[in-house]
Amino acid sequence: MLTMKGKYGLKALHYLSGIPEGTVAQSVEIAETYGMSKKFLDAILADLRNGGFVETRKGRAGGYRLAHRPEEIMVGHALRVLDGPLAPISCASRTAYHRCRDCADEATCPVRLSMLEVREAIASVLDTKSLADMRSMVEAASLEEDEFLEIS
Amino acid sequence: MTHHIVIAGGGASGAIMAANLFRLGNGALRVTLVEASGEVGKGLAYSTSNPSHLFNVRSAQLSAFSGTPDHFDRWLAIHHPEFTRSGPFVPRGIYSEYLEAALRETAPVGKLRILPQSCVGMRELEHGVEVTLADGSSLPAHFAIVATGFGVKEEGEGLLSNPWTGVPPENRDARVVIVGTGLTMVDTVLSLLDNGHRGKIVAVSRRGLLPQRHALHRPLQLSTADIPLGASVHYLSRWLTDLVRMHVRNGGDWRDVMDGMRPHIQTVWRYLPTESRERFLRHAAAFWDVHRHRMPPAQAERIDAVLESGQLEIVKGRFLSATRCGDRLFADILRPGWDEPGPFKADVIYDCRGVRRRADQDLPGLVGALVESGAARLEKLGLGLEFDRSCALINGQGEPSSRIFGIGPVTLGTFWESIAVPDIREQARQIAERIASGGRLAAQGSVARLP
Repeated sequence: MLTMKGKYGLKALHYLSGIPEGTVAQSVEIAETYGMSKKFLDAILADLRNGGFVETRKGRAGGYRLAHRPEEIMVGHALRVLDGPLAPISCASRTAYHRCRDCADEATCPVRLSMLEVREAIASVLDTKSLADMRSMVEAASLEEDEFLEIS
Repeated sequence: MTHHIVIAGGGASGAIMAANLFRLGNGALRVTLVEASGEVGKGLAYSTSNPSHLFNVRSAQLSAFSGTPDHFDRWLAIHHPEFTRSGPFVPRGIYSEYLEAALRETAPVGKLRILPQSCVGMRELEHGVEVTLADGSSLPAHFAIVATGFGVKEEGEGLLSNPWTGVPPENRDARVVIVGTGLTMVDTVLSLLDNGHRGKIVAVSRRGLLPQRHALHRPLQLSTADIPLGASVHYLSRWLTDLVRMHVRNGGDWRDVMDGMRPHIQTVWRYLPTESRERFLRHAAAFWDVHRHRMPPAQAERIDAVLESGQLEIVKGRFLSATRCGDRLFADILRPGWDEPGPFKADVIYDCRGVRRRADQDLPGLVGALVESGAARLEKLGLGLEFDRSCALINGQGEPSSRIFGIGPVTLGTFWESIAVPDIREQARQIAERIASGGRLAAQGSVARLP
């Protein structure tokens, strides 16, 4: 399930995918850009570092950068480290499994069976979308927005 | 048009490849299987005739065709009914017999040729591949497939005996040192015991880990959505141990988790960053292997018995070299905490370090020749050659070939799981479908199954 943490984490990764190669970004700039709490963002970046998606440089000129090229980091992969297994409902995951409290028979639950399929679909979309793809999506969208403004 | 396909290597990989070509092709093809021994299906793993050497995969998973999962079991019931009763782990020695039968069943008369030669080169041309043979002649082909296995030299290295070809020592009281403590060591010990060996057997490896034993098969149903792909090996291994812990706490067995991971391992490997792969090889592969490649219970019981009696001893240490003094051999072994290697006396030393070794300078045979000519390059960590997702050989410039493919252990570095029958037959299906469609990439749907 997409939590606040997942959303912020993806935005932070998007930010890091846009900084020039060889440079780092400080969490303050990222937090300010998206209006997040810096404390929360630091915790998120620590998780991403732990998962091997971002690296840190220490010291005065320190900060965060991506551990791999934006083409190599898939959105779905980073999301699993942030939010756990990709699953729209917690009984649809084996590893972060929670039974619904009002569940009578899980094996034949229509909601769960549908959601099991949904999670495969989520994985197939997000596991083929890299941070680079995400950038181009954003660029295309902002281009469209500009055109729209010009016409109006 | 009739396509001519040359397969270099006639072990299990080559035979499964040929059978799939015939089954999935539209009949318009000819296959030449180039195999120096002239025997089909008797590669490294299956040339054994010892009935104690068992598959470590259940018979239900041994069909040569992904589309017909019970093909092997049906053959077994007819030709070796005695093994259908004795349990799911059957002797490996009968597999070549099965593969021959599968080829007889699928190959139209006159369309399969087995050439007792070795293949020493492949050159991609505009409309085909020129395959050169050891006698200097060459074979023109439309497609070629590398099915040579990888990295194990035919003869033992220096003073070490090759466990696959070596005969057990005549002296049954001989002192035996085995380098390696994996499944090859298990097979070697069983061979010695079958031969009535009474002497002491010492098996050495850096960590001294023995393969775990098989139990009930109840794989945990995992989805790729559950598995942290792309994360570092550090993160992944913690996730896996946490999952095992949770599963065991809920009354499960750790094997269920390993078996649940099994279908996803190629995907995990594909997205594992290079430095993580390196770290995995260095620190975790030995632990992974003993849990992933397990002993059938019948073998485990015999190994337990000789461990208990003291005839077999597992020693933790690094094998450095072997030397000869008179008619005695000495294995130099550096044990943890020792400053200097200590000599271990032996009458015979077996090299059971396994097939997965990083390439050194002199790659054997065809694989080395392909790298040298620029038709291939080594996978980043040196684990075999590099292939793309659909098993096409990557050349020295990093471009995938549209005519040369690879199957089985030679693709290990690219796929990690490519040495067991279920993976090999899936590769064979994919390559065969591609060739049947004239070499064009298969439809997206079928590519996705093999990452």
